[in-house]
Amino acid sequence: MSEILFEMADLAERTVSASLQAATSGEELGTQVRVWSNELQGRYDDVEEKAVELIARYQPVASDLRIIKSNMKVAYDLARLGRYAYDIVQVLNFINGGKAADKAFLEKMSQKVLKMMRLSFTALRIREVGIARQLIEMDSEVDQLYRDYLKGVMSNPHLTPAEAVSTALIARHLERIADHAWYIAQAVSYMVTGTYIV
Amino acid sequence: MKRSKIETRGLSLWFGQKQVLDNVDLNILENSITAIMGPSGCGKSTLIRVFNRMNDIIPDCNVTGSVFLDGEDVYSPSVDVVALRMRVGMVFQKPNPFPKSIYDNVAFGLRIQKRTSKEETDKVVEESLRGAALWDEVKDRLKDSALELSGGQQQRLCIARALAVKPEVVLMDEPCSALDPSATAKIEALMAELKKNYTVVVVTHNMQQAARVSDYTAFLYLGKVVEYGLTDQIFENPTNKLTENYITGRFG
Repeated sequence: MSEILFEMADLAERTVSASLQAATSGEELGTQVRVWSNELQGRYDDVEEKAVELIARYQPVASDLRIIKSNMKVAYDLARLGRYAYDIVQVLNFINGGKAADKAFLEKMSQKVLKMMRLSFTALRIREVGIARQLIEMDSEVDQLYRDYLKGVMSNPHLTPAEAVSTALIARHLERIADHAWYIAQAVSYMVTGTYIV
Repeated sequence: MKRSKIETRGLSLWFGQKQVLDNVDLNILENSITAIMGPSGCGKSTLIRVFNRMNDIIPDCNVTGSVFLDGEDVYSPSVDVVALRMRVGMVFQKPNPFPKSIYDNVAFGLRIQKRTSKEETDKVVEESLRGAALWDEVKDRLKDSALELSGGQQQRLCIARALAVKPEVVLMDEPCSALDPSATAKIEALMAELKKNYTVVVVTHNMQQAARVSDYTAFLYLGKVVEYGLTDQIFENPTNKLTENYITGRFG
């Protein structure tokens, strides 16, 4: 089960990175992101099936049970990362090919979110509990960037609808990717200690 | 907030030179099911036999510390052991009905108490068999021999027999280990009903059973209580590494 998750994490990283590359550089990567996102969903179904099989056969308890529960949550989070990456390329396709989006702002936000995502995958691979605490602070920073952008949109009459809407939507998806990175680190904390870090 | 029904403080027990229980502090709450689990030879059966002083019949058995039932010390010299064993009933691993009729099995304890009125005996026999979820299956053949019943039915008959003398606590020593899964399921469902009116303590080897039926679980190892707490917590996130290793099957 863990092996499937590590493969999913690699794939999620590629998928999100590709979508952000498309958003900031204008590269056409929509088809690839869609394929990878569907693959992540398929892998999530595999993890669910495996979890049910393990529960039925072995009636796991204690740490074994927490591992299975956490792995199911993490698989869902990883599939969601793929979905948000797909949603980002959808925005690019739908609104003026993404040309209007505020690339400097999205670049800044992407860097933080990619860092969070990679840290959460590290937490998963080495079962490191402390990373969740680090991500709480980083998640607050990402939330703040998003809120500040929205406030800026309200008070800036010079923004075109295309720029405001495409940037805000992509920023929203980035904010959710950051949330899921934190959920993954939290699931690792629960797996190891039996408690969630809040 | 549940009251304490049975409490042990510093309970230690020896058979001759061999120490079997070591400083056990346990608080069994009323109207709950408490599972006692642990590897073979850890003292589980010995522990529950302390509650109704069944260990008294074993020569060279020495007990130190205290055992309280409703706040009264069961090892006090003034305690009537026979009366204690009516308050704290027991069901054993292998069903052991008497070689008598179904009716006479259940009525036996009442007759010893000298409750001989036929009407009252009939009433108590029916109540006890209903309490053991056996009445519907045997009501038309109460005169048949108990030995003709299936294993699961015999075990429920033994439970009815224990209930007939109106206990407050029912001790069960691996009550399902000689039964098939279907009979086991019936006994487990019965335990959930019993706890409404009685305090149930069950010794079990079967961890999944402990997890299914009990509210509280105690893990015993080499005569010591390693961990005791809510079953949900013990099976999701045990505090002690030894408990974790036992319930995940890494030893035992």
